[in-house]
Amino acid sequence: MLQLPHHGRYDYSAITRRKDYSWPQGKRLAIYLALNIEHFAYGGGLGHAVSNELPQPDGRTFAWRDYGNRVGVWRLYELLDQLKVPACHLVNTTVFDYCPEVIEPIVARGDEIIGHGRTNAERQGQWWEADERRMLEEVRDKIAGHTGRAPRGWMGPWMSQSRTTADLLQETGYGFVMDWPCDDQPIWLRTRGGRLMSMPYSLEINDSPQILVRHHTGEEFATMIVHQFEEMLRQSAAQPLVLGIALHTMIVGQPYRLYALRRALEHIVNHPQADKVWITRPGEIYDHCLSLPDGTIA
Amino acid sequence: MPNPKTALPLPSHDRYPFSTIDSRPDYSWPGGKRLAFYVCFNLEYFAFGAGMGSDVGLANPPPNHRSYAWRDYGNRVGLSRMLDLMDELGLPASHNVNSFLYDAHPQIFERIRARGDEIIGHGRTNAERQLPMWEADEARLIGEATAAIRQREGKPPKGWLGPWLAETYVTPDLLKEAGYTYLLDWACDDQPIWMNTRSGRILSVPYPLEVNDSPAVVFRQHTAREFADMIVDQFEEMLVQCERQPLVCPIALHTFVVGQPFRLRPLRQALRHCIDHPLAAERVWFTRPGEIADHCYGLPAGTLVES
Repeated sequence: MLQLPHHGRYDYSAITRRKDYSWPQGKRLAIYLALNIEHFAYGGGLGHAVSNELPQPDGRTFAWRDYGNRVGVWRLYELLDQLKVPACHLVNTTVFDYCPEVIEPIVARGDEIIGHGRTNAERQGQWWEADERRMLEEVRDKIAGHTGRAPRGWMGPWMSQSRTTADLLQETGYGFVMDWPCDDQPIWLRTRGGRLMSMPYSLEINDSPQILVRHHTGEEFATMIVHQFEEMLRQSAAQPLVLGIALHTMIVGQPYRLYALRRALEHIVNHPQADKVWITRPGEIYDHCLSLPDGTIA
Repeated sequence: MPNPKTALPLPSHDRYPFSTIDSRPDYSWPGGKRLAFYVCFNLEYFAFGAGMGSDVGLANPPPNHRSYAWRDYGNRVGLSRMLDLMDELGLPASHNVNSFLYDAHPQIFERIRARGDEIIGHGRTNAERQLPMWEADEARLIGEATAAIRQREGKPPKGWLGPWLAETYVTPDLLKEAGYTYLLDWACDDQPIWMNTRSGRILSVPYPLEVNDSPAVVFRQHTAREFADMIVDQFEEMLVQCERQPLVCPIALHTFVVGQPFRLRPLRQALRHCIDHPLAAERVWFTRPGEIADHCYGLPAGTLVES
């Protein structure tokens, strides 16, 4: 038997060999939009880049990212309102201080805030446990303090995680994590203090890796969304599935990419089989999973 | 920012003004001594399979237990041997201490306390450094390290040396605000100098980046015999130079480097040479950096060049 290092968080299970269940009202495909709302350091730290990064202070790249908070996010809110779709928002807590206006529509729309670190200028994977725990608590308390509601979900900046992230999330009161793109259904992770749900979140249907790293166009990205949707709609006849669409304000918030994104999202919303689709938020998927009989979720 | 005082177009730290060593007011160390000689141990704690750390040879991929164990030897064996040597020579010592050691190996502090040696803040662990941190995180790191020393020693440290001497733009400000009276991070002089911070001045006490077994032996791969010669030559040359200026001759040591028996032997000979020197009784003050800082704080205003 091959004894490779293993994370120990979940056991193997084939998507075709699990208990069947449905989303509310018998729907089969749960779709959520995840808007990444991030804030970066000027002159240092990590960050997304659309072109070659200049030596620090890389004002050009900083400003390109800042466009997302100044313009892009507002265009995206407008699109969500036009389509009348809910969304979740992966918000760096420095956003609460830097541009608190950006939080107001999220609260007004009744949307969900997912814990997403303090800033994407850093990542937690190599931190010491006590420092990481403090950051998770700091983020939890900041969101609760500003919105009256602690976040139930977490996705780490850059989806970075240490060996103990899942344990710390469970211990600091988070209910689900979106760092593990290993499945199209929610699954339970083992932690040292109890179970933590892993919510599907896409590293593929995600504008940052596709457009910034793999250099696809906005049109190509929109086509990926449509194809992902059509194929999963077919697959979801056999299993209830989750399709997450990950967006970043400074990427698809650019007008020419927004134009393509609108086409893809309208395709989903106006689809003839839209009655099989539950456009929702991760927190509501989590709630539904908790309401299922024990043992339904693998 | 360009320095408005020099009108030069290059960025400047603006922490201290320029002055040449031979243009300053003269003063002496206590008892009219001219050369302040101190030995500083680095007591460090590392993460297994993670973080930073020195390697004696090529680094293996994580967990790199070989280098971890080599460093661990310093806390288990090297330190005791080095304290024996200090006792044998009757030398005072100071210790740059990673604060995680107070929880990991609290027993190592018993002998250090009994000797009356000085504890200097040295971060939490040398598995990390302050350099990439945001200001609030760095302030918290300094605060945590300081609180551990205050709690275990009953008084806060006066001095600080950052792990890997890796300062951010605001480190001197944060150290001053955390109550430190001096820092060792700036190897720019052979005398203590005043530095500006946003909250008042702090003293920079000389600390060696050269007569230091880590850069000399680990990184530049000198032998212990060569390192011992560096100590003797540094001492002899400064013993002459100190006739004109009071100087500081610091020796920096790491338990996992000179704590190895074959390196301890030439080190003993070098330190013995300094102590037994015919001019030592008249000119040399064998001391600790905290006492050097205290002496400077007690000098009349203007003796050290104002920052």
